[in-house]
Amino acid sequence: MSDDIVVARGISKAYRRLDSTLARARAVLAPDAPARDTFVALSPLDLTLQRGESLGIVGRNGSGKSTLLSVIAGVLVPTTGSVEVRGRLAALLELGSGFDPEFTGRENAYFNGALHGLSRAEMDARFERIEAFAEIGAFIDRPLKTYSSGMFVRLAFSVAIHIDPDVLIVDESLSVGDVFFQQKCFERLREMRVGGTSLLFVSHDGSAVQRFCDRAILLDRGHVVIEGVPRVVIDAYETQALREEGHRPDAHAPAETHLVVDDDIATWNAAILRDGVPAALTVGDQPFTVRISVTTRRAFEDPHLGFKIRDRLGVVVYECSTYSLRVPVGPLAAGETLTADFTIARALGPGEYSFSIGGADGAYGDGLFRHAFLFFPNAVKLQVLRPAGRPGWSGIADLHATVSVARS
Amino acid sequence: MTTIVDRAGTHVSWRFRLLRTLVRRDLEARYKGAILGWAWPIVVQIAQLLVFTYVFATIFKMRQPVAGIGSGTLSYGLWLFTGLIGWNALQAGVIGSASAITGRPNLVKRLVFPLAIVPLVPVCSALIESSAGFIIAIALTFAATGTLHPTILLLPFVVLVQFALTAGLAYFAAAGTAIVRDLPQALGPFFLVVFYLTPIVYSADRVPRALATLERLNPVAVVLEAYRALILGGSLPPLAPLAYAALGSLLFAYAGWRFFRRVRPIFSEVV
Repeated sequence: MSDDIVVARGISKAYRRLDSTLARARAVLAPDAPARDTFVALSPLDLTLQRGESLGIVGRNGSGKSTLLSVIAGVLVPTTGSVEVRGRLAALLELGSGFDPEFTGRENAYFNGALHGLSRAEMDARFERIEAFAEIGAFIDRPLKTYSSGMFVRLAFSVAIHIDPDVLIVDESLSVGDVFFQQKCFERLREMRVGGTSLLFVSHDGSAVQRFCDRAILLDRGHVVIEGVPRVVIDAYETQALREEGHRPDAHAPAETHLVVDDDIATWNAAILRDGVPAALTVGDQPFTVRISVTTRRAFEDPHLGFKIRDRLGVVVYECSTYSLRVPVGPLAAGETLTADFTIARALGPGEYSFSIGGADGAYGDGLFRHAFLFFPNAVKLQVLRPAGRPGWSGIADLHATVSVARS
Repeated sequence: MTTIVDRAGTHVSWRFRLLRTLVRRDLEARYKGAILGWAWPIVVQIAQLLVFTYVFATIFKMRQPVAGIGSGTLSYGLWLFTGLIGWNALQAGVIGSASAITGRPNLVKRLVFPLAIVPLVPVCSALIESSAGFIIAIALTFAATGTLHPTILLLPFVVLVQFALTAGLAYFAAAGTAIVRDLPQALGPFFLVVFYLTPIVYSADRVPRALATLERLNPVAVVLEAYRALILGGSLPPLAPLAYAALGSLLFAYAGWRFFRRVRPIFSEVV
């Protein structure tokens, strides 16, 4: 309990319409009076963040993510509830916030330090590191208005991490920087977490949350849809996204950005085989095999491989793994290749399906793992054709119904 | 409300340091890149001194005797100028603060910021700039009379009273603008009226008897008279009105601050 660094109780936010003088006056004079015409951006929710914990928040645009972060950061006054932050909080809420374009990078950095309670001497001691991390060279002494957006985010991020926050809020802003800088940031964030900094991380990028967070929540229309380990939450998020994009022809196109491959994996492969050869097409009454293989760089104690089948609308049709099927895989030595062949008898109705594949180590029940080393949503596609002749059923999955008829 | 328990946020000294930084930035931004730079406040004050002396003393033949200088053109000019210094700081501070919140969405919406110090920034900047005027007034008095009145050491107390008064107005103006958008526009005519109702270009004894009582309730008049007494006369201003103005200004500043806090929750939704 004492390790909770952010405690939010029952926070909600309903935006009033404040576009007239009268409405603004009413909001000030009678803030608690029920207002007509409100927009509920955030329904009451509780949230705690422990020291050193990293919480990911995902959701579509308008789901309430930014409102939630603004309330926690103390920028927005919640309609109900309270937030307590026990420590120094740094928020990268929007690119360049709190920076004055007329002043130089150096002046802005010092001002930001002052804002977070650091004295000039304390900033002097850090400035070299800030400058080195930002890597913007001589621009540090030029006005911010001459910066590119990439330089801007470099400086803002560098300042935010060097003021030693207890809680760091990052709202998508990292996506502006180039890939190398992002990697550097993630590396640095990892170090900071080891040092006890908590992280609130908002992203559209499920894989970043997956890699980076201990816990995640999915927001939709101001409600927490699901809270839990990132794998489960991201899955729900991607299902939601797929469902909405379901009618787009390229809905199943593998999204490379969502790929998670651990450094411990040397090579990996996934394919659908029909009669032993890779196939993208099958007929509904033919069996097929899902083959997943990984070659590891280090030993794994309890590795498992699995997959998930989604239909065109993103609905999970079927999911299984070596763990769920209770197949002992056992410890894997470094350099060894693990191959799993999942054979599926005729069961799918005609249509297009996508296969997400994953691998993880250290199962502890309920499909949860200590460590995911491979995750590739929509890695493989399979088109299932209507079998020749008259099918005995229709729908997504063949449930092998038996029937007995009685007449009396 | 979001409470942030922070080793920095709990200290008043931190807010003070932040205010100092903001004021420094405000002043630096104003003169950044200008050739004359910091000489500008002095240029402005001298221009005012010359123009007002010419218009009121030379053209309108207004006279105001000042101890040790007599009652010529210079004495009136200096007397008027001394009264104007405080007035200018008051007006500039309040007008600047009216848009201090609504003009900075960046600060209000995206930054954890002690907003209560923001309206004080233009107030402090204006007072600091006015110090150039005080120095000119003191120097001219010294040049004309050959004496340096020891009463000028009491100036900071009067400046504090003015600070409280201006801060109160600034809080009302900054928060009021978040509700009523016309407020910055309304300040122009408001200050025009107050300027001519306050004994600045004329002396208090010219005010009709019927209005004299009302005039004594005007804290701006009390403050400006105090400046003139300390700088030009080398005498102490009447203490009772000054005590009244000091107390009134403090209460007013507190009321303004309360009002500001009351309006604060809607800032991030209306800017």
